[in-house]
Amino acid sequence: MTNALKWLKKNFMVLLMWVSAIIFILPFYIAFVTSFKTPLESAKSLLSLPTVFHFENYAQALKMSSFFVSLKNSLIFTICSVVLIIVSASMAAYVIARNMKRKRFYAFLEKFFLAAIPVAFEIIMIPVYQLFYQMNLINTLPGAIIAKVGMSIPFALFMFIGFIKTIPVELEEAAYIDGAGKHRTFWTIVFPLLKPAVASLAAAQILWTWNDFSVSLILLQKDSVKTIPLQQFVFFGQYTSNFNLGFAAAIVSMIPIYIFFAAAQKYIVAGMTTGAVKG
Amino acid sequence: MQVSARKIHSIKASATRLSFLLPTIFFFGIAMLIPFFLGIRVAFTDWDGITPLSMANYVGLHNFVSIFHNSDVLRPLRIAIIYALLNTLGNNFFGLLFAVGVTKKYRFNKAHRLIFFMPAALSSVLAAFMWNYIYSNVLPQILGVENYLSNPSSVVAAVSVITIWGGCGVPMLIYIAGLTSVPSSLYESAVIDGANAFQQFWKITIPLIMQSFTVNITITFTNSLSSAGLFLAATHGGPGGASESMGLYIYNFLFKYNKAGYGQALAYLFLAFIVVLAVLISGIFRKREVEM
Repeated sequence: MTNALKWLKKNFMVLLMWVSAIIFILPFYIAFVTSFKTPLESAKSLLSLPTVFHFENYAQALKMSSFFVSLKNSLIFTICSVVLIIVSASMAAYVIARNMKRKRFYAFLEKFFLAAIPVAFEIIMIPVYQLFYQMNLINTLPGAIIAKVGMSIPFALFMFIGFIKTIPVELEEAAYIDGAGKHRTFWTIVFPLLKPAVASLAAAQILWTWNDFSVSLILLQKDSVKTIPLQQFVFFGQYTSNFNLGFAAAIVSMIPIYIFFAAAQKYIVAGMTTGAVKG
Repeated sequence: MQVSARKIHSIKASATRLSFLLPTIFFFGIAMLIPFFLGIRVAFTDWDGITPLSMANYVGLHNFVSIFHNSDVLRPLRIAIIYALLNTLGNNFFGLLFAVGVTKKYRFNKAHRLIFFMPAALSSVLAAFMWNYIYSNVLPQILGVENYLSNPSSVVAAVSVITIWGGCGVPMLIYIAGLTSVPSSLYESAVIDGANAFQQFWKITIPLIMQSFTVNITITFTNSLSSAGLFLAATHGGPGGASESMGLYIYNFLFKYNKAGYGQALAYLFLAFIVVLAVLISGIFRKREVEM
């Protein structure tokens, strides 16, 4: 008895991690098994493995959720947004980081963009809707991309400024003396040095943009431009009576997420922690 | 003559510097800066969100005054605060617990870290759908409990559970980064001094990862305050408005109640509230940070 207690005391934390991990993965397991069952089958036994794998759930869900249209939209939305965020924010961060010590305007800009970070999209969605409506940008992917890039720039800037400060200026000065212009110096000398920051920011930003719900909820309301989360929002709303089809659609949409996740895990982790730890 | 040449040169240099800012000015201007100022104009009108804004009437401070006279606004405010508190507590409790757990050396600790972080890769729509099924079918059938999402008194907590499952992986990562930066020599000398595991945790670990606390708590609290998406996806604000958070309430003034002017005035008051809280909270924790 005392031995058992001793063992428990020593391994309590490990045991707790095992139990928590099982609880955390259970929703995925439920989604997986339910996606292969018929409604009748899942009503009878919720957690058991399916006796017959009903792959037709997948075929039907893909067709009814017009998955490939929204996959295309999500890809365009995510790739364009992330590229533009990286390009815009790194360029601006470069001049801000290199001039904020000597020039009051750039010192102000740094504070200004820092102050913009807590302004959530929810706070300005009404005027964004109005402005984009006037500019005919509602229900267009370029409109959603502009909004996402603009909303994401403050945080990206803040991360890049922190990183650029750690890069010695001497390299750029040498290139500058050799006659390269500021823009060429930036793209050939500085930007390549930003690679670790770009990789981690891009990885985290790809995930955030891919999963964006609020910006696309306001700006992409027509079926032909809906991204995956938005398309699913509508689709799931209609299929709460048939969870099996819903879960088939859910599992399919997780495939690209977790392929990316497996490939870029290291960078995602870095992107989600570095900005925060620097605080 | 020489002076003006230098002047031309310095104007050129300023222009080059500004050209680096152009893309940011374009995107940030259209998506945030112009809407922010346009919103101020909206907040002083009775705009319904449908007719052209130019036809709306200027109503002065009417929207702001009526917010303070309208007790309806207290419910979304209370929901937002309770939800933010539950998330902050839950995310940081589990984030720190898992961080301490998976940094121990045992088999599968890396796999566990991955599992705790996995839900963070899902959209709020997907997370809401999965948990809707768990709340409406799995839990009632297995544990015999009611659907917590359809009971007004438990719905906000039930939505928080979804957020904590889907979100505590991120603070976990930040705490792991904090924990691994604590020098092991500190623990070694504490062991020599006879400190037990709990004393080590409270006297060494906690003070030294205070910076991670500041970041995690401020970020989780302020982000959850304005949250709208998950509530919309999980409950549409129901039952009977019991989970209509402040973010969702503001959204509804544009798309449901057709009182965009009022909604925008509320959005700015709420932003001011968030900023004040963020400054207060990060101030409280900053003071307790220890320099290493």
